[in-house]
Parts: sequence; structure tokens; C-alpha cells
Amino acid sequence: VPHDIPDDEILIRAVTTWHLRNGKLQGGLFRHPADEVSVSRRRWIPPWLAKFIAKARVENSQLSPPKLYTGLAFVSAAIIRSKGSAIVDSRSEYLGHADVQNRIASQQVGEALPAEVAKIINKRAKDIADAAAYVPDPKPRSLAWHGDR
Amino acid sequence: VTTSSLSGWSIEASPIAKAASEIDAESIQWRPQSLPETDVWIDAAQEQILREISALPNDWDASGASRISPAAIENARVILQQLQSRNCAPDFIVPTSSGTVQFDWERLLGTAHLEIGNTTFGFYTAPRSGESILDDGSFEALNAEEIRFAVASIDAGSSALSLADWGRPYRLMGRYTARAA
Repeated sequence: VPHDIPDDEILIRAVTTWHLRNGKLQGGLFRHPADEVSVSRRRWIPPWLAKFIAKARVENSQLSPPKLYTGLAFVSAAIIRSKGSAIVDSRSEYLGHADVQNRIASQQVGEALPAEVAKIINKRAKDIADAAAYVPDPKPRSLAWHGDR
Repeated sequence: VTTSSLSGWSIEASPIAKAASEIDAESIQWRPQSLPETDVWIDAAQEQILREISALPNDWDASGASRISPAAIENARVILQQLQSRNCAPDFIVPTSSGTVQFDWERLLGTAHLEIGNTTFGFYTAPRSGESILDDGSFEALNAEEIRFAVASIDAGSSALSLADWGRPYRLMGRYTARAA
């Protein structure tokens, strides 16, 4: 698995009930306070495995409200880079894992971001979410992937 | 709609007409005018949301999120009550993984976002067309009346914005976007 992630690679992001509003992806799906948005590289991690990882590592029914896996979002590396974000291999998590990084500003815990910075970060995250193809999983509780990709 | 040539002004070229032309009619969710009793219920529900946010522990998102401090919750409660009394309650109240509280407005002509921290706030509008209104700084400088006017600028049906008020959001806009430029 090469460290370099070419533009034509497809990246997979697990989607949960926390990331949807009226059935649409929210920008928060591509925003993380530590600036490390976890994705799987489609070329090396097939959707069934991405779903397995999502259910094992992301889904948490004990949270309030429950954070339940609903499907997968697919987006190309080229689109993410075109919005200004970077993608770095992070195989210390698992082979085929990568992080999307905004590299704009770090946020102090408990304090609001300056308005101009927040606007840029939120717009970028929303633009990536809008460009991503969200494939709802018709059988989210099943172990197998039932989406159309 | 026809063109008015009065003083070179045309309806088609106005910012409101431009924004209206970009609206996806099917995405509009019309809401009935709320009754006073409904407002009381909404106020209580939003207060309950803040209480639930205040009870979140560290790592409440299982991804390392910070708990929301009592100071941030109290700040959010103060500004929420001021906004509610101005008929400008947010559409959504959510915790952020950075330990702040965020208010969101989703209106016909755009969205607005207010992030509230322990001692600071950040606010901006994202209109479908035109310039954003930006404001941030110490929480003590946060002015609910200015937030109301800014939100009214993205709310085509806002009763909060009377005809006499129309100049004010644009003055705010000039004040805050000048720095962004």
C-alpha cells in the first residue's frame, strides 16, 4: 500500500445518525477538532470492510443520542484537494486509513473560533460533504454491505 | 415581475430578486405562524436542550470531544433568553466537540451560526447571495439585538425586520465585512 494518495483514489467516510439532517450530509462529517477526519482508501479497503470498521469503531448506541451507522460517503481525493484540504496516509490506525486535514487553525478548547476562520472551515467541510456521494445502507444492522457501490 | 426603470433601479437587479432566483422552491419548508403558547413550549424545550448539553461528559462523542463547561452553558443560556425575548430563537442548538455551544439558523435566504465559548463568541451569516455579516470577540461584547438584525437579513419572512429596519443590517454588514476584506 503506497503512502502517496493519488487524486483518482476514492475515500470512504462512515456516516452516522449524527451526521445527517433531513437526510442530507452535514458539514460536521468532514470536520474534527484535532483536524484528523478519518477515511478509508477505497482502493485498499472495500466497502464491506469500511462498514465493519465503522460499526466497530464509530457506531456507539450508548451515547445520547445514539450514534448509529447509516451508510458510507464516497469522495475522491481530487475533490478534497480542490477544496484546499490535505490527505495524509495514517496507517498507524490500520492499513488503508488516511486523515483529511484542513490545516487552517487549531481551536482552543472551550473557546469559539474567530468568525472568519469558522466560516472558512465550515464552508469547506460543507462543500466536501455536498460533493461526496452518500450511499445509505439499506441494512445497517447486517454485517454485509448492501449499498450499490 | 416587470422591470421598473425608476431612477435606473430594476427589480431583477435587486439583491432580493437575485437571492430569490437561486432558491430551490422544493426545499422550502413552510412553517405555520407560531402561537404565543407554542413559543413558551419552544423556549422550555430549548432550555431542556441546554440542560442535556451541560450533562455531557468528556469524550461524549466517543471521538475525544471536550465536555461543555458551566461557563459556556451559562453564556449560552444568557444569550438564548435574550434572543427568545426578541423572537429570534435559533433553529438548532448543538454542542461542539471543541467544548462550545453552537446556535444555527436555517432561513430562506441563508444560514447563520453563533458559537459560544467560556469567554468568547464567533458569529457569521452565510447568505445565498451577498456579503456575510461577521462578528466575534469577548462574550461580554455579544449583543443580542445585533444578532437579531443579522439573522433578519437572511430571513425573507421575518417579522423581526420592519420596513424601518432595512438599513440597519446593511450598516452592520459594512461594519463587519470591512475587516474581512
